[in-house]
Amino acid sequence: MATGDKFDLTEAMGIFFTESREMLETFEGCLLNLEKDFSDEESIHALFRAAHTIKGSSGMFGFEEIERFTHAVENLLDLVRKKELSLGSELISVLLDCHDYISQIINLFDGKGEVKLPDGLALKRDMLMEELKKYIEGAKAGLDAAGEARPSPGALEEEESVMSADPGDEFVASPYWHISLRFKQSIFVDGLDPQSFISYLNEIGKIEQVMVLAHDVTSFGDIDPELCYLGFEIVFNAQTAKETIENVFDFLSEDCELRILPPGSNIREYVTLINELPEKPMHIGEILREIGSLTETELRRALSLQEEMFGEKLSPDQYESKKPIGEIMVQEKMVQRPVLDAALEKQKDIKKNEELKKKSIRVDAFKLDNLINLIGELVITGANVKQLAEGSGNSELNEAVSTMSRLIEDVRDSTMNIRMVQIGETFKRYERIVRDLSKERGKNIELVISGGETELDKTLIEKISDPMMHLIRNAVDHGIGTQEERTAQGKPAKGTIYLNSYNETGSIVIEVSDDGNGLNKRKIYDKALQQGLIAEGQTVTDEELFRLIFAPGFSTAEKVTNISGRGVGMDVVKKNIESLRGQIELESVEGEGTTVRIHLPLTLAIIDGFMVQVGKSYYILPLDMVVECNEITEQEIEGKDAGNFMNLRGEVLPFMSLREFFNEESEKATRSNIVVTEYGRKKAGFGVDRPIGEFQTVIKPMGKIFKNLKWASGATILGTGDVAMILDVPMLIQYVQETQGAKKAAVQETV
Amino acid sequence: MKIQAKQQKGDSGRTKYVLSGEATIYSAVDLRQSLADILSSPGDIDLDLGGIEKIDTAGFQLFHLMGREAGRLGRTISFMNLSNEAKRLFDLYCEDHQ
Repeated sequence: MATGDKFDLTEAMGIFFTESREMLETFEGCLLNLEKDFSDEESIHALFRAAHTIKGSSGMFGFEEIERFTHAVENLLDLVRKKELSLGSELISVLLDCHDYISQIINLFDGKGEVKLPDGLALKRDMLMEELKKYIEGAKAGLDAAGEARPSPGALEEEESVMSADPGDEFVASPYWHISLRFKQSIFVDGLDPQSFISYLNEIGKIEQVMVLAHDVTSFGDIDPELCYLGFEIVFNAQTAKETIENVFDFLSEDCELRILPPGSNIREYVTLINELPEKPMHIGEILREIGSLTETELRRALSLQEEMFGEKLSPDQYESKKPIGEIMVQEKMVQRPVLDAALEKQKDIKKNEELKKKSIRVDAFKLDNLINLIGELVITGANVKQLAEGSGNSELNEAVSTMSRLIEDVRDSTMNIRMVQIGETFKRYERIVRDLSKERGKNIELVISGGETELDKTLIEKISDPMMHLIRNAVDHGIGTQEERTAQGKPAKGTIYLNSYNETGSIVIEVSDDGNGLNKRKIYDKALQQGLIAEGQTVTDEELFRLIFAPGFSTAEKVTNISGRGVGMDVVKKNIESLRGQIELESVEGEGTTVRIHLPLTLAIIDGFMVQVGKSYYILPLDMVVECNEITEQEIEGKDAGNFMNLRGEVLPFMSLREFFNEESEKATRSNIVVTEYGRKKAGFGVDRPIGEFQTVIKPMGKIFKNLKWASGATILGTGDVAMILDVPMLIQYVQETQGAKKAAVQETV
Repeated sequence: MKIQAKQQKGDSGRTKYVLSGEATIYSAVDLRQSLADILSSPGDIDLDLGGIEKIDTAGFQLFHLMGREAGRLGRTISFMNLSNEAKRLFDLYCEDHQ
């Protein structure tokens, strides 16, 4: 577009790359949808629009390489859109390759500007271009053969001309919206004044130019002064969604005809506008030129298109007949009615989405981290102030401090919330991976996603994506068998991988499951024996056996593929998850499938803690993991020699005393309290001297010296300046379950 | 206040009228009459809108159509000395004035 020099290009360039990547995401998503349903019109249109947008903006920024390529893609999609070329899985694969190629060059150009393509990419481009050309030519040939196409002497020349002169490619240079308003005559009498609505436009943008029209008036003497004869053509400068502009005139919707053309609209849309407006085409065309919505050349082109589009069908006196939007396109057989409706509807959705996106801003993650650090300090200082205030006995001060504490808590929560991102977007990325992998392995696998709205800390999401990828690859490669294998097992030929996410006590759970073969226990056992992980004749529970999967270098796959089977993987996955203070567990039923469940903590930096006192020390347990507190007498604990189990309303609960565990030396309290915790579906109780209560806890990482400290996940500073350890509850639960479990087993054996 | 038109001596052969009052849908009938009367006198016209206290689109429409009519008759009308109210609306609709 010729207006490019008006903007600061370097700044806008960043937006171009971000936007293009978003468009590519849409592009990929649509292709994946289409693979499931070739006739999904909405996706076809969205696909075309995505390619078109990338082409347009890359052209604007002078990325010829991208522009040329996307142009070819767009041409092909245009044929698909017009149903001159049918979409098949082969073509979708080609288009996915095109998507990958465009992503690659976009990544290449980002930050560097247009550079010469490395040989590999250039080769890829040429191959893809060749493919695209083949499809386009094929479509043309097919049309010619069917005798539907325009007579064309040479298919190649025809294609050339289509490539350059497709009317769908002509866009006006005007960077502004064009709004066309025609009012019902009775609008003034009805007590409405358009000026308030029009002047409101200046609130959401800037009115660049207005042309007032009065088409019906022949003489001043004949008019009825109380009727409205005016129409407005407005050139409007705004970065907004069409819907926002529509909403401005929402109140007038019954009393006016509103037409809005977005910046850089297709010239055909202007032709339609010209045709629809009650004024003579020449006249309205002139007006559009005068106010700058169309250039001289564009106007000439529009008027010739106007003749082309309407010349044959309409005699000149019918020229001024009104046609609803889109009617012309239907007449022209460019699109069919339901398609058009769908497209219009879809466009609305997209606009809505874009609008939602516009309401969000991008913030440097560093700034956010800084803010969270500061809030951490604020929380600590707040606790200090609270302590001092309580000591002072000044009730007014105490009241103020407690209000402040509440506010600090709110600030903390909303700040942490900023970092929360829905996991759905990340899930969607795996669709492509599942698709490609299953193709490669000759399997038919569908990915079913649920719980995409679950929110997770952004850092967590980033860090979880690699391990997830691994699990999904495993499911595709080992989990689900080939179609033949599955049919032989009496299962549907199509395998399914489920991705699910939900909230659970104190954690967020992500599940990757498949309906495949399940784990072969015998095989794992043999392999473990072979690798010396277990001793001959040792009895192992299923759980223990499955845990071996996470041992370094363990793989039962008979065939090492390029995807998985090398034995590096599950141990790395486990390590990654654990580094996020998360846990991983595996369930599997042979012949039915496998579920890998990842538990992740809710947040990273500041948590709601539950403070307890043991001896002279304070400990913090994450409040999310605390289920309840129970008071028990010393005898109840003392009386048990072997395993520490208590009866919690009929449930067997293993517990241990933190006093003994941490060797706290001080007077024993006469009464003890059990704090019941739960994490990853496992429960354990901890005996403490005194539960203190909720405490806002800023997790301070511990120094290098404490690197090997096992049972604490961090430390925090109390209002008094004392340090309290934050207990690693998941680790402790596991420990309690294991040791007490062993004791229980021992007890049972001796009995 | 109802619309009032007063004739004043203009510059170099132009006739000047001063309008005052309301130019809204409520006074539209009167305003049209006043403007039609003004149009019926020959020559180019200066229209002083300094006294327009209130104006809406109905009022604006009459000024606009009057201007077009004059153009058709080969005469010119200049809207001048606009009151704040009138200026705001004329500017919004990008109508020329002095």
